[in-house]
Amino acid sequence: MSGPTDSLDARGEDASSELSEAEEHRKKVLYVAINLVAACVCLALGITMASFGLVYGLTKSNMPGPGLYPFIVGLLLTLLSVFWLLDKKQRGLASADEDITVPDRRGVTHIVLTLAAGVGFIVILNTVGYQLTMLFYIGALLKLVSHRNWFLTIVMAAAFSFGSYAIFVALLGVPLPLAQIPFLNSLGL
Amino acid sequence: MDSFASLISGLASVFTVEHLLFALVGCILGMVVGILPGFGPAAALALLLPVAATAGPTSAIIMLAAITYGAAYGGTITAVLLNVPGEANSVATTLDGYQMAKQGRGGAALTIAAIGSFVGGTIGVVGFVLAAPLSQFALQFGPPEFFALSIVALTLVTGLSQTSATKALLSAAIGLAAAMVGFDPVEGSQRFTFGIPELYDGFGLIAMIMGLFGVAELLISIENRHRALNPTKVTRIMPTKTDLRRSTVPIFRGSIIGFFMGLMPGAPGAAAAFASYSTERKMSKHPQEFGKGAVEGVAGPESSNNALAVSSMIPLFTLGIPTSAMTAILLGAFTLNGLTPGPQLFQKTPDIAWTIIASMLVGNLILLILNIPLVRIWVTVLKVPYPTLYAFVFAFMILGAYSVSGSVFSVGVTLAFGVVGYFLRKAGVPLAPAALTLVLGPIMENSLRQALSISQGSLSIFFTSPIALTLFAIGALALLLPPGIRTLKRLQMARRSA
Repeated sequence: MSGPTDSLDARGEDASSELSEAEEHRKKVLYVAINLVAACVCLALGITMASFGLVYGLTKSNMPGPGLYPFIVGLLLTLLSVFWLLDKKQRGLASADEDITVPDRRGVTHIVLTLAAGVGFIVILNTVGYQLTMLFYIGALLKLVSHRNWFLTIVMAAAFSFGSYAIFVALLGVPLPLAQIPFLNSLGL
Repeated sequence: MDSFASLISGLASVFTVEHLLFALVGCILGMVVGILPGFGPAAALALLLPVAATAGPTSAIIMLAAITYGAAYGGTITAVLLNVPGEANSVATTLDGYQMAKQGRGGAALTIAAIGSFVGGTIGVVGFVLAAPLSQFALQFGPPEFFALSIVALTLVTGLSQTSATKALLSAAIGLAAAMVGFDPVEGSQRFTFGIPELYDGFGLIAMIMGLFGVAELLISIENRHRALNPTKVTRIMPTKTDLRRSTVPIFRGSIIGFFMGLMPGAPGAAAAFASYSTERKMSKHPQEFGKGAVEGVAGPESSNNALAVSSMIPLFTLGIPTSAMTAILLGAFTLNGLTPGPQLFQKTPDIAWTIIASMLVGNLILLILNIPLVRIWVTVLKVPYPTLYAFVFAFMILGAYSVSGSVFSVGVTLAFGVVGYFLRKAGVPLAPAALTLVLGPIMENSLRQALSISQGSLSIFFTSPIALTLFAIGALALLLPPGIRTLKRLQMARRSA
């Protein structure tokens, strides 16, 4: 005998299996889209390389010229990209691998934050100097990606930035930039 | 016998504080990398390339080689205590290792794995010594033969790749394209630099490899939440006499299987471990115990892992040809230090070559000594939240990228190649062929153009050399055989279902 709870359970199971099917479909669509975009980028790269190969010259005084190798590699890239595109076009979603992993929203945020912090590092390093830049950089990763509390974030970020500066500059003799801002520079940062 | 005498003199050179320290650091780093699920040894090698550029050739390569076999053991710790393989080669160990840990025999499983790893590594080194004269054969090689050899390495890695041949070849072509930026290696004219001074020397091998392997792998590792790890407790560490007796033969069998599979392109560690596991199950007097905590199921695969980690370096050292992403990165470390692996390494700098080979013997001994007392420390390391480790590893990578050239340009290249590597992995494109061609690209171009210059532009030079012809034939076979076999199997299946 099936009661109202069983029927609710069954509906719940149906809903979750529909949800996972939808999720699987979304993953496959994304996989094929990434493949198509990557193939197009490779195709453009291949055509550009082959064209530049012709510009650099395939031969020079009957000897192989500087453009020969880029031309061959460009041609190879172009041909393989066309194969790739045709394959994806022909097989569509059926070509999607079974074990595709796609980041969830939180994962995407983490990746974007990590890369943004990297770009920030590049932008401010020469102005603010290594120690403060690394402090901000690792602080951002610890707080925004690793979700540590403020106290741990500050302590660990300070330990890493000042510690790594001391090791690289004093022990290994690797120069790391100081701040160009006079006030910070006067503080040894 | 000459090789063994050279090994002995190499052993004498290893015993300096500096070399031993680098071997120790490499072993520890390798083990740490091995126990971090999702962070493979290739990424660790990439991360430490900046150190390799400054530490001097022998010390740097001793450390990087130690990472490869250290990681082969490190993966075992999580496989046994958590049922999570730290790296792909340890998957087979989870089957019986974790069962042993659940029965309170985790310490014994780890000790047997350590002994197996030591024996496997040692057998790998002995094989290395026996194979070293192969480098004499490569002395006959001229530009056409070297070009053919590079093609063979490429086709073997792409042909035996797990994914489609098109994607593997495309990955190789991307590596060739990226390696081409900068000065033309023959004439010195600029290519693809577009007037940007930072590009005159190319993107920089270290920055590209760190991006493709290190950054890409780290980005993938934070895609999803990491659950807190809860390793099983380790009580008794020493194995029983029965464990030792039952492990002896599997350790030797596993070592031999791993050694020969390591010589194959792609160095398929997981395949070697599973081959050893299934051999042990077939040959065991207690096959019913497999999957329930059979010590042979740990001893065999673990020995094969470490034998493979050492033997996979033989083609690189003797012929100068890397057969996997890890050995391609090692080749990068050689070139960064002005060394050319292959016959020239044994001819011009035999002291360096034999010191590195001998260091593998010492490194494996260090691993054996470290493993047992450090088991409890690794258990503690496993409890550090992964996102925190992630932040520090990423910061270290950025610092490494900057310190190589003293320019933020390298940091930008590392991040950019990281994004490229991430999307290539998402598209199912393998990265090992790209690593190979990033390093091999300039060598291939040099050989091709030198050969064509000798023949005044005639391609016949590649078909008149018997060695080059044989190598091309091997390359063609490697490329065509796997899809051919797949098509035959598909046809057979279709016939059966009809």
